[in-house]
Amino acid sequence: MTEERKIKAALKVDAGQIQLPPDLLDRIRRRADTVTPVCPSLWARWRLGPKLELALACILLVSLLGMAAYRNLNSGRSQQSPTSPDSRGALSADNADESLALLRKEAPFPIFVPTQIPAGLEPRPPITRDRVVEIVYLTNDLKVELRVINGPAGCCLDADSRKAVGATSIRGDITAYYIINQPEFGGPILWWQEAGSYIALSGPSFAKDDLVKIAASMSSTATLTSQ
Amino acid sequence: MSETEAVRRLQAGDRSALNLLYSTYAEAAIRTAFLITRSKAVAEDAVQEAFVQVIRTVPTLRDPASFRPWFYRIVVNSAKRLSRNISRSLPLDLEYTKVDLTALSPDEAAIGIEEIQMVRAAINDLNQAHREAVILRYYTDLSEDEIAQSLGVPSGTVKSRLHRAKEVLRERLEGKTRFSRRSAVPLEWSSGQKE
Repeated sequence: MTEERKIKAALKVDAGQIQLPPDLLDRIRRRADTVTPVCPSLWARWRLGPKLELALACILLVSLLGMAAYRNLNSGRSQQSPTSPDSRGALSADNADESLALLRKEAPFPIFVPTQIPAGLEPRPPITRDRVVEIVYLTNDLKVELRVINGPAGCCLDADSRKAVGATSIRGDITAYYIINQPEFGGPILWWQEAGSYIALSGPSFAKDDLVKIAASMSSTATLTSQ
Repeated sequence: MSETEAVRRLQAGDRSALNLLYSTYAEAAIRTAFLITRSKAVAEDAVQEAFVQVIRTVPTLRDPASFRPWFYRIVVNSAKRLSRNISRSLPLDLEYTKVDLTALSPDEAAIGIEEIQMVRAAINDLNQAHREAVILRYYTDLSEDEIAQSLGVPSGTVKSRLHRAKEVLRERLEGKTRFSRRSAVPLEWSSGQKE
């Protein structure tokens, strides 16, 4: 008790250093004239009690997190899956050829597709992203095994021969460039430019020779199901 | 007019009811704000802000009888917010050399200037959370539950803060007492600066 008495006395002495300014109430009134009180009836209607409000806030937070996770999942799918709503021509795997035909009519550059691919890979309908057309080939367990990019010549960052670690010839006089790329970033890239198009092949489990073989089979008139 | 009645009237939009609340709380509020912020200017602004906030949000107070802790919560929050905003170069009002014993009861005055000064300094050395709990409990005379409401923390937290604060004060004061045996007026008291 003595201890508390000392604390009280010390605080009283300390607090005694400040006095209430005589004009403070006037200052408050002047400020208050510009203030609009919160509508009591509206507030009362919405107040549910702290525990219930906390519970509702938690539910809302969980819902928001769930929605965000769902959106992320969907956006991840849309990047990988050509069936996303914002993918032009991505209607279904069945009409991949139809979508490719439509894109070939619209695109200002030829769109090349492979005519020979390893067994077990299924093409998905092409999708457009920025200025390029992307076609992915999936394995049975829906992993992206091969990615084919077509775009206007010079369109892409990789279209720089200085980045290449090697060059090779495909179909006679076309020079293709090989770029080392880690599997987690899509695997090695083989790219070249042909008939006004930039074409790039990549796949996480392909070696340079595999990509060169696929490149040698590329055609600007073949369909996706013509292998 | 009772305090509860004044709160109800203010909730209904009768701003003349503010006079009663002001005369009841303004002085204690400015001193509480000063103890928290250690700045007279900030304390004035904090109390001004707090009353304006009261006028704006008093309709949201469901139980007019709990105005006191609700009001101190606004005061404490205003003081802390404004205190954070002030320049670090602004000198704090730490006038340890000024002691006015007239506000003290005879019992309290009997404690003696030197010991009161030591306790003042020790309280100001507490960390913010402990200091706030001590100020609201021993200066503003709020109960532990009211402090909990004012600070927006559980009652258990208030209890432990008060307990720990008293422990720290005890430790420091024991140290100071030993120190003061060598020097009747330790340097920090006469210089007006914290150690």
